[in-house]
Amino acid sequence: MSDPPPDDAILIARVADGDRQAFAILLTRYHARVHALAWRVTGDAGEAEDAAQDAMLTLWRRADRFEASRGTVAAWLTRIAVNAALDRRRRLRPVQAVDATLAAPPVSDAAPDVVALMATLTPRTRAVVALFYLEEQTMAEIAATLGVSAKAVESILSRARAQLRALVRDDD
Amino acid sequence: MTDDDRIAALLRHWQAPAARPDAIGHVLAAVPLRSSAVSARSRRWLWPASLAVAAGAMATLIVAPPPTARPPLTAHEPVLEADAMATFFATAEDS
Repeated sequence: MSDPPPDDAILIARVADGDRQAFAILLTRYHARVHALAWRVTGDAGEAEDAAQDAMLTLWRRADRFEASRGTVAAWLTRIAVNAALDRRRRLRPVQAVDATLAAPPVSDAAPDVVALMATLTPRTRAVVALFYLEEQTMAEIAATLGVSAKAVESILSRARAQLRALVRDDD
Repeated sequence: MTDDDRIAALLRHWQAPAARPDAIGHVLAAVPLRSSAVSARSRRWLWPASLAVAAGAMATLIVAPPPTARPPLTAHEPVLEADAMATFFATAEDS
């Protein structure tokens, strides 16, 4: 019988000691999730790849700063991933300001309206929506992730809900 | 079913495309061999090594030949340094 997979907390401690194998396990475990989150925030496949890479390399470099008392490795990595994706968008903004209005986002067959609607929201709003509805984080957790107040998160979410409600009602 | 439930259901379709198959390999390739995330234990071993490197560099500086001697002043080269020194001593004597 094979050994159970090592716990995240053990792996992150090994990564802090420069263990590349432990890092490879965490990378395999979380890359898809980090990439999906980065894609939802950036709205761009290429940027999502780069943001996911930035996030995972940040985990490698700063593993010694992880504090188990403040949450799980997954939650810590989620925070790193969202901020890496927002940083990417901030750097791109002057270049993509025109492109964003011209280029349609990649539309999936399953629900083109959702993808198109989400592309009209700001990256920060998309981050809040993704963290609340898909990562199931609380307002306080989202506020900590984004470095803003819970009130600000509530306000962003409220505006996003209004836009999303219009969409679900249109579908009726 | 509330609007919020409907929104949650709708967002389940907000699916990201799969990452490139070689994405993990790219990240691993980008990991620097000498990480800044070096443990305290490793740092204890690295200190003597870095001190040795520093000592070697100092020894090189001490035994290195002096830089090429400054060429003699030509008639065209201004002698501002000498003027400044003369002014300084003149001022010091006056005070």
